[in-house]
Amino acid sequence: MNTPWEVLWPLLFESLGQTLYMVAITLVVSGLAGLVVGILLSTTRPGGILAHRGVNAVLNLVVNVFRPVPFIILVAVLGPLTKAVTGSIIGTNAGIFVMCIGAVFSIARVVEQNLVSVDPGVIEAVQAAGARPLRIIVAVLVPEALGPLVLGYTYIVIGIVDMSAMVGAIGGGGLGDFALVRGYQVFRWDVTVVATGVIIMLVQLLQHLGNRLARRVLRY
Amino acid sequence: MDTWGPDRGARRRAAYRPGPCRQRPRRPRRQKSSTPPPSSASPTPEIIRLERVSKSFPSRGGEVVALDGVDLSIGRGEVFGIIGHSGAGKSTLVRLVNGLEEVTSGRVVVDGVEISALDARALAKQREQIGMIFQQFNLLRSRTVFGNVAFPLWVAGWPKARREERVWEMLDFVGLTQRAWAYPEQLSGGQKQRVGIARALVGGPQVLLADEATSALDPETTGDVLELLRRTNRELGVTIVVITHEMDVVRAIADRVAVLDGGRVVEQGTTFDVFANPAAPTTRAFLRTVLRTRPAPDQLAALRSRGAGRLFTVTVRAGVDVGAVLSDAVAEDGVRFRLHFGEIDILQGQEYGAVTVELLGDDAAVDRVLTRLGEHTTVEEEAA
Repeated sequence: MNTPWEVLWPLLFESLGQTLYMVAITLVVSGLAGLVVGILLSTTRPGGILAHRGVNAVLNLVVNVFRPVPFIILVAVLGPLTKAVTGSIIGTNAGIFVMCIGAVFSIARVVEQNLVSVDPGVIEAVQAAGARPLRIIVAVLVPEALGPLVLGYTYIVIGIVDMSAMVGAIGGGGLGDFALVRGYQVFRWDVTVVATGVIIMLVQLLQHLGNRLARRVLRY
Repeated sequence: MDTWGPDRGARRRAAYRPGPCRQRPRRPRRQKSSTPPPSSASPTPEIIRLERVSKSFPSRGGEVVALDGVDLSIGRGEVFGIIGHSGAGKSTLVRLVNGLEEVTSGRVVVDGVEISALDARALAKQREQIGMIFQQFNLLRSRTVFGNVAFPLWVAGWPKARREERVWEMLDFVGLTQRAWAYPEQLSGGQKQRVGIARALVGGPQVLLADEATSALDPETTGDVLELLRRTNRELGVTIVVITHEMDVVRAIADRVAVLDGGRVVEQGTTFDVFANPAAPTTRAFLRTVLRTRPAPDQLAALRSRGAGRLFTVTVRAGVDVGAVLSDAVAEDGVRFRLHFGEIDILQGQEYGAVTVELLGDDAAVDRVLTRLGEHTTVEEEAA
């Protein structure tokens, strides 16, 4: 059986494009939402600049409910909500929606961890200088934790690439879909291997970029 | 982020004219007299007042009382030391002054404003009048020296041009114009604390709170930073509250001092009075860390094993000529003496201290010398 590469190459590139698109949209949307949730998680802790027991408890509960659900199950469970928001339970946009929900809570935890590690003495110093909570968040907490945050987001992006492959299951397209549909299901092992290779290279590239950016921010 | 490049910085430096904060009329220079101010009252009108201030923190087994009914009055233009062991409540106390901690009961008034009654917004505004420096410096790692010093002005909403001019002024004051574009990790401890001081003073505050500001520094750097604080007090007229566990820091810089123990003020007065006539056991214990006015038991034992005479510790005070009395003893009573131990120091222009002497002669003669010394100062026999 000869693999029809002349047909598959364009499809592979199209799939790569779809993956990049899904990953980019998810990263921006859930990245921002996760940043906000993560900031609230860390600042509403007892002793935080917006300490609030109730808000903190609710946020923790929500995050803890969503985070342990395996992504492929989340896709199924969120079906009705996905249809209500995107108009369909299959396709790229449906996939992006589910990915955003799946990623936002992981990002929130990553952000929370990194912000909590900012030296409380520095927070105290800027409070003593008259800074109010919003200013402290924007001008102190986030910039002081920026290096670890970049590394955390890099880690998340790779998780999102992973999710985007699973979105193939609901016809979301992308490299995972390509590997399954054009390779695995039609017994073309070489196609699966090539698609996997592309995913690995993409992950390597993203990790490299993340490391470089973090080094720049941390001034190594 | 500031958009300043080194070139514009150089131009700014050239245009810089030294002078105090121009946003507020200059306060009169503080008069440093050679004699200490009277210990009964503040030398100047008060700027900080604590009335029956208590603070407790909730804890697992009920609550922990950090401060218990503290009354303090700190005068404008004063350098006021607060000394205590760790856990004595001094860090809590200083944080009540700028509202980083809230009082459980009592009142804190700074420059006529009751800090303990302000809402969050008004408190943030009031903090612009109260600078603070820290043991660990607490600089922003993500900003340069310039960015750190500019931060409070940026928070206070100063326009960019005025902000930059003022920052160069402060960097010049602390001697760090050359390091304006360095990041904190590129600085030595002393330089970091200078940045901290510049940041605390940039908004032209009335009060500077120094929380163990020299405790992370080596002795030489400590001296430099204390000198900078003295200049801050003298040249800018800023009232300074120095929190420390080191008696040396108090001796070097404070006009008056309060000794804190177990959340209470156990002693306060002019630094000279507290050093020369300590009343509270805590104060004496602190003084033993810096003054060797009395031999320790093992040193005493060593002295006794050598000498035949009786040992006395004589307190030295301003206006008391211990030497003259001892000379007379030699001339008139035939009593000889040997100096064994002691320390005499000059603080706020006055001598104080103690010396341990051995008196050699017949008992009646020695007693006559003691009586004479006792007319002028305190004499304690180091009983065997």
